[in-house]
Amino acid sequence: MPPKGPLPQRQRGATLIREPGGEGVPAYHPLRWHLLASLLLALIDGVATLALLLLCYFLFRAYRLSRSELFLFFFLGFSVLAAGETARTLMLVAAFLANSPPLAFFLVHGAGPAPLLLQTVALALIAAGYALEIAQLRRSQGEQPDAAAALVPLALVPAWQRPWSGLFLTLSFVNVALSLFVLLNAVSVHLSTRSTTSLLPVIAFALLLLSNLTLPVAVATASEELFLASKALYLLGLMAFLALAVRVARG
Amino acid sequence: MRPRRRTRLRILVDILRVLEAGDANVSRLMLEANLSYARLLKYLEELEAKGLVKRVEDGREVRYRITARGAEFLREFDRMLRLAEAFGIEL
Repeated sequence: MPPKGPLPQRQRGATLIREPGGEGVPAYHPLRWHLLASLLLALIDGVATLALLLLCYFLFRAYRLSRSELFLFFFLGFSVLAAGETARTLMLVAAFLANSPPLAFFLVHGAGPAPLLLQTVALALIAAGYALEIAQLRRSQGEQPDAAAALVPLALVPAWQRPWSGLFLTLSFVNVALSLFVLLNAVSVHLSTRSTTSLLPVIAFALLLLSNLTLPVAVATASEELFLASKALYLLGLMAFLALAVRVARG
Repeated sequence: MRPRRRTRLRILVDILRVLEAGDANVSRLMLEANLSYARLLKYLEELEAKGLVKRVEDGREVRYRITARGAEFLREFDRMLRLAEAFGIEL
């Protein structure tokens, strides 16, 4: 005979987690849900980190072989980006493993600005690489280097110094500007070669730009969905780099 | 627009590419790698010192042969070319 009256909680879809001496917390408790989401993000971040590390490895070998400083800039840029991703992955895993909710809260929320700052440094290095490339190309063709193109990353310095509404938003805006500059250069490279290999950085940097455009909106509107969309776009961008690394390795 | 000069690395790769197709003597290398006799000898000495090619004496004729290390160097260079193409780097 089924019991009469309201159904117990377990039958309505909520699994109870019993804690010693406690009443039990539903499994979809907000903090626990966030930690699960954090672990999922950490896993995806881990894959993205591997993609970046692989690309860094090839860029470093290319630098060693050619001694071209352009490869060095790209290698340093992608290394810093990989370092940011590694830091984020480790913090998210630590947040998941931490038993103390205040520590978990700090780690989950602290994981945001640090990799964002590293992303700014990474994009600045990649942008500098592209700017140097333009200057070298012009010089080899007997033309004067395009000062405007070379100075765009430097022009961003005042924006960096001006404290806007906060570090997070400032970094986001700087990253948008840098991503746009890098994307325009990648598009220009692709238009001159028209190859699939040069299309992959275009896709990657376009997704990074979209991610950086979505992030400040997500923060300003406190929208969790937009934040996740920004994260998903960023990771898709890194997957394009993974495709590039695989293409380089396989030949 | 000024024609671009080959870099040292490009010249070494051009010599190795000729040898990849089979052993070659100095005359053939000069012709196919588009180098003068003096410059070719200088580059061949460098390649030999790095263990990328080896000198094979066949009677009076001296030929050059690519080593396993040289073949690996060419594969590495091809990987670098793909990266250079992706980021628009001129080599």
